[in-house]
Amino acid sequence: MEHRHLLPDEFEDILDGDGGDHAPALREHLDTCAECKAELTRRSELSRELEHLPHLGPAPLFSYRVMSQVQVFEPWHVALRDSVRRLVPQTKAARWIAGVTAVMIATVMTMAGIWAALNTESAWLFAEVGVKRVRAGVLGSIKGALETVFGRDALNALEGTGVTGTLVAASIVVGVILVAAIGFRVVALASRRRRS
Amino acid sequence: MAPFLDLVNLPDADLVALAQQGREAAYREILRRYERPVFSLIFRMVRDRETAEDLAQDSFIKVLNHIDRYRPEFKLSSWLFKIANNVAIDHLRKRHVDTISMDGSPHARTAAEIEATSIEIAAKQETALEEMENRELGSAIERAIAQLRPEYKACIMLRHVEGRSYEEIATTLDLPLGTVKTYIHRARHQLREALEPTRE
Repeated sequence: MEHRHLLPDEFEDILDGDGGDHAPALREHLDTCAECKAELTRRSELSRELEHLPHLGPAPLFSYRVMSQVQVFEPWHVALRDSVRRLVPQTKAARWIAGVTAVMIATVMTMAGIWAALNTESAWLFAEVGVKRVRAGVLGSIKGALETVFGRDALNALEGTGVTGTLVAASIVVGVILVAAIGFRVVALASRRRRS
Repeated sequence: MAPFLDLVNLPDADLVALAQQGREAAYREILRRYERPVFSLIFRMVRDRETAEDLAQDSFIKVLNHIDRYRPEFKLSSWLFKIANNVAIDHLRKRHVDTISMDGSPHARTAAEIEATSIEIAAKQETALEEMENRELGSAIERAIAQLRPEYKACIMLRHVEGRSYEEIATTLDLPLGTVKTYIHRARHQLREALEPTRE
């Protein structure tokens, strides 16, 4: 080892924990040379001071201001996954109950499917009876509602016009409802504009 | 699922992955984690709180609105510091062009010419913001840092305040490793010289 004082860059390397292949020789010199040791101490003071510089913080509403200008983009598959997950109960017990119920429903449906496949004629019969009953129920409800709103005479007149007349009357009712809805929306928007 | 994750202890790479899935909480955590380091770097470079906030805001908006372009082989913090440094340097360059000397035209030759071209600013009281800035950046070492070139400031901040390696600083600032080393050594030398009178 040559007994010379450390060069400025060598001090910096030692401060950075570097010094390459020469590091052991430089450290050996530092152990014996009071002058270089004092210089290293002087230089390390600055490093210590710099390392203790605090992080300065922005104003409290900084993050709010940033987030108001950031567009959070959620890919469709993540949105779909989240929607499905939202349907899953949170607690373990509730998940068990939901699972058992789902298995039971699936079993009944499968059995019914197998039975229907094996007994086609009976299945058709049941289906026809079911459809007829549902149709009768729905028509009965509509007639009841129309009779309550427009009276028996109006209902008789409507029945007399057949399918075409019924469709025209239904279209008129739907049209009136749409016009009323649009009208209410226009009034509401105008009122909101006036308030703001 | 994201709401149950402990975002505070999550590594940056996982946090970015969640942000890329559209998790707003992950965006907020990135912001919480880096708002002070990024703001500190910019504030020490521009030395004006309001400007620093605007530039830090721009940096975060750039990063968070382009989070889908993040490359995992690059550290998130390096990417953030790179953008913050670029934004600050751009601002300083622009300000340098816009600056008019208050001490009179550099082409003035006589005292009369200097006086004629100088700008007078009325004495004014220190505002609350200025007072706060003085408190934050008024120490001897902060004043010494203020005298450094912006490139030196960025290097010295990343090295000592953020504890980055020379290699990381070189990647972050797009500089050769040797240049980073030179900048840091020169910056330390200048700081020591500036602080010498205060130590005696």
